[in-house]
Amino acid sequence: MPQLPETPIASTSEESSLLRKLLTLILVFGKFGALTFGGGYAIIALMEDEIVHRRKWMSAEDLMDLIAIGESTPGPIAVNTATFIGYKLAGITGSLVAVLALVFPAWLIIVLISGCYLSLRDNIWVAAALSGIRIAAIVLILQACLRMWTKLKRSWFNSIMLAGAFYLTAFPSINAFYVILGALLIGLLWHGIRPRYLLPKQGETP
Amino acid sequence: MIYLTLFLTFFKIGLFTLGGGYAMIPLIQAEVIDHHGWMTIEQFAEFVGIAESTPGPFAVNISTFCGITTAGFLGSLCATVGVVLPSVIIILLIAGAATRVLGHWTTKSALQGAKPAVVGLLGVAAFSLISHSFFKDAGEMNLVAIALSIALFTLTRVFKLGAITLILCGAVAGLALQLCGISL
Repeated sequence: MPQLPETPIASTSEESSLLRKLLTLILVFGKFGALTFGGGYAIIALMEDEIVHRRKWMSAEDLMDLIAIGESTPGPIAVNTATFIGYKLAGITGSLVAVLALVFPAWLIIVLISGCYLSLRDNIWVAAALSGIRIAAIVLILQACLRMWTKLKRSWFNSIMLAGAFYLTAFPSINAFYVILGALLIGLLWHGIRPRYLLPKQGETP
Repeated sequence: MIYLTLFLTFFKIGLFTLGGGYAMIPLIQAEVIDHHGWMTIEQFAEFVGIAESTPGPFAVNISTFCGITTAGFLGSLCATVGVVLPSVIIILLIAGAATRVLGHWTTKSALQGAKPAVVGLLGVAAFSLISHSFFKDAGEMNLVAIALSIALFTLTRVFKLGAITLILCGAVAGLALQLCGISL
């Protein structure tokens, strides 16, 4: 580790000390965790502003790559992306610090709120508000479902998989985990093994 | 031991969440509601509403909520650490070669299969939440709930309401109905 001049972190992140980097990670990801409403994608918009434009830790393309990775690895997208950014900036310690900073405010707020929830939910007015919130939450889930559906490519494979997953979990009540495992396997067979090993290669067909 | 069970359950949920927070809903339903019976589906819908209107990743909010109502403070720690840990482990494992691992045909093709299935699973979750809210215990239709959800759905479509505004509208509607002596 080279000796460091007292310079702002934003411009010389490579030279700044690990400790300062970690502190900045805590501040930045703590902010993401405490101030963003509405889950993963809202956090990502804020990340671009802070990480690319203000702190210049990486280029917009690099961040987009990390987000794409965060989307296709299991787990909450914001947590995945935070882990990766923390790792890129300050190694394994950096990734742990970034995730902890992101998660802590969200955890704390719920711990505080749940106390009120548990003691007040039997109050007639609170219960009335909660029953309205329940309906709103259903609308939210339905919308998320529609949004995911419109983003899906129209193909008969996707239609069959969607309908199959729906049928299997709704009627024979097969556990969602097995459905996901099965879907991963079918994807591997149909989109991976089949075009590679089972279909005739383009050059070999007459 | 409840803490270990909570941790393992949410670890499994985090591991199988493909495509962000909402993809977690059917998994929570399968494990937390159907399998362990830690909460009712009505409570879960309330949690979703509260989690959406509090800051931070939705997945963390909802796991903390499930943990704390099931087993108190320590329970919230176990659930939250559990749900986050698979992400951290997987990212750190592949960090050096992420583009190679995710660009590999096996990963890509498997995910292509999971994507539509996740939408189907979320559809079932929405469907079962709807059927629980739209029908009273005796099997008769809850017309007020149906009307309110259609109204809220139309509102969000027309005015592009954000999640928090929508939750607030729901709460206000619930209170207003109570004032008129109608329970949802």
